Amino acid sequence: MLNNSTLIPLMVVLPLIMAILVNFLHQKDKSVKFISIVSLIVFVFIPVVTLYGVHLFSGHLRTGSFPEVSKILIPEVYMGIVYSYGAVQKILMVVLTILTGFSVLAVINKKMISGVYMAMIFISLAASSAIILADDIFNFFVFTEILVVAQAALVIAVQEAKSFKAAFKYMIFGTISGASILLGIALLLGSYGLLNITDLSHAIQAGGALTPIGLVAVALLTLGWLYESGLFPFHIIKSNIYENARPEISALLQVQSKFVLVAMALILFRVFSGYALLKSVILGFAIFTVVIGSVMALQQVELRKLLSFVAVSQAGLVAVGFGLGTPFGIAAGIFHAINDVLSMAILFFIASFVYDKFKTTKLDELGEGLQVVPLVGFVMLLATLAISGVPPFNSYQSEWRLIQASAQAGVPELGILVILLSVATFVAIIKAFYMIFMKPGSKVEVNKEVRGNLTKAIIVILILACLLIGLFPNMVYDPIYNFVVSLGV
Amino acid sequence: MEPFQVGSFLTAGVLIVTGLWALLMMDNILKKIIGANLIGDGVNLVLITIGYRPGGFIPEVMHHFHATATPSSYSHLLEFGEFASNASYSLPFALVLTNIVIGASTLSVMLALAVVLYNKYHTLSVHKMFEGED
Repeated sequence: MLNNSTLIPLMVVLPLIMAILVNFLHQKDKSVKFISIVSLIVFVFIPVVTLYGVHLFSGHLRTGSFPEVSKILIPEVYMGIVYSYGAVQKILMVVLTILTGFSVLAVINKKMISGVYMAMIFISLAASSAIILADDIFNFFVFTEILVVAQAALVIAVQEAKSFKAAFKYMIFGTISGASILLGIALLLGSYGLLNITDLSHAIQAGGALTPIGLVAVALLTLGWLYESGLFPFHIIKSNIYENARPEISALLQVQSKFVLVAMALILFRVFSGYALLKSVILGFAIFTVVIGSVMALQQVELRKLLSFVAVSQAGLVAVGFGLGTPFGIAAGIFHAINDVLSMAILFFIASFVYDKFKTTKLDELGEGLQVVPLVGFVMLLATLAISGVPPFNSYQSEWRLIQASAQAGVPELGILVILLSVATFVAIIKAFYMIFMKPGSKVEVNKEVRGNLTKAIIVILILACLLIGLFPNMVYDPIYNFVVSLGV
Repeated sequence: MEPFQVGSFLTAGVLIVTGLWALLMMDNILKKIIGANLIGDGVNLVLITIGYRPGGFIPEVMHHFHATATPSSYSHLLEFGEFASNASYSLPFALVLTNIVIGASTLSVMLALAVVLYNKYHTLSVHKMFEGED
């Protein structure tokens, strides 16, 4: 019934090995460049060719029922770590590896090659992959901690006072979040004696109503989820991280954060599927994130900051899908996560290009960019339409499904929220577009040496991907929906 | 639950609350980092206490057992089922070990950041470092 594919763990192990290798090759730029490019091709290739299945690092799969789960006995405990690979994991892994590849290529193109820097990118890739694949809640926790350190390191690499402060704040709050997740795991382990997510889900369902200890565990894990996903009240910390990293790295960080959001929300729903209040709590925090994120985005006059808040508010929209709690809503949320990371990546790559070309991303200093880089301006306009949910782009398909799911779940008011977010996002980004490309009276000098052909190629490829998914949404959406239905959440 | 376990859980609670208080309320960057470390220690203590079984065996310190042991290796001592139901629960100890390693890495990065921030601002006051930020 289950394929024990050996390729599944390679998605985590290989980036880790490559991270160690490029770290040792620090200052040997040509070797680092060669290994990075070859590795990325392999990283993209593996998820594509890997079949759906489960990988057991040791032990056995529990298949029996859970008549009695209150005692902790060694033979009752399933000890092996499990990675599971289904349709959602495959789509997330393909998107993650491709966007990591684009970020790495942009870094290499800017002659910012450093063994340590590449190592951090690869570690963050390995951690995100493990989070997506893990069917073991402690393994999930370990890699969320690794991801926090790797992301902080990528921000630190900017070597500016602001980036040090952003990384410090991120790590301090990461400590609280990590402790919260681990305490939640400890309580579940104490109550049920299990760490495997599938087993836990069966055990909790067999045990009936959640115990008070179980309720505390839900609260702690939800707190951790809010932080890792950058949702309210941690939206400022996350947007600070996006803002202070190099824009091409921010494109990668927002992908990782949104995929962690999806992976952890799926875990919460699988483990605590019978706990109705969880949906309301998630929905509440999601709505706050959407509203606050979009209002703050509208106020910004710095492109990177603006995009950071847009990214956060869009993460709120993904969480709205989960908050609806229906298979349709959850599938629409996951679909929106995929669409949104593509559109946001385009905008961050455009910010990267603008920064290189004009040496600033302050909107009041920029202007008349359309005469200098008409292609980038045109693609930014398309990306604005894409992220605002305008047809025929991809986000239209996911936002439309979110509105339908809201109506189906008996909360059509949320549909209005989705539309309002789209309008706010459009206004915020079109303002940036006007100020960069059309506003007369530029105060910046154009760096004519920067051609940015690679960045241009990346943004054109990504906008074509957005268009393709927008025209053929079922290609991505149907496997997601079937996967969510099969989980029975 | 044994009094020992109650005491342990209470100590863990005190550690976590003290750590949170230091992290959120104290101005000194090093005290914040120490607070973060205390929270981790508190959670580790919770995990260790969960694994405690009053009067149980501790497989790790019994010289009869080693990593490659199979149930037959100690069949002369106990039936496997009996051993399993009397041994302390070793999985939380493994988790604690992993968490200590993660905690050490996180701590070292935070300390390195504290050094860099101190060199830039010549103060340990977080309030002064973050002054003027929106």
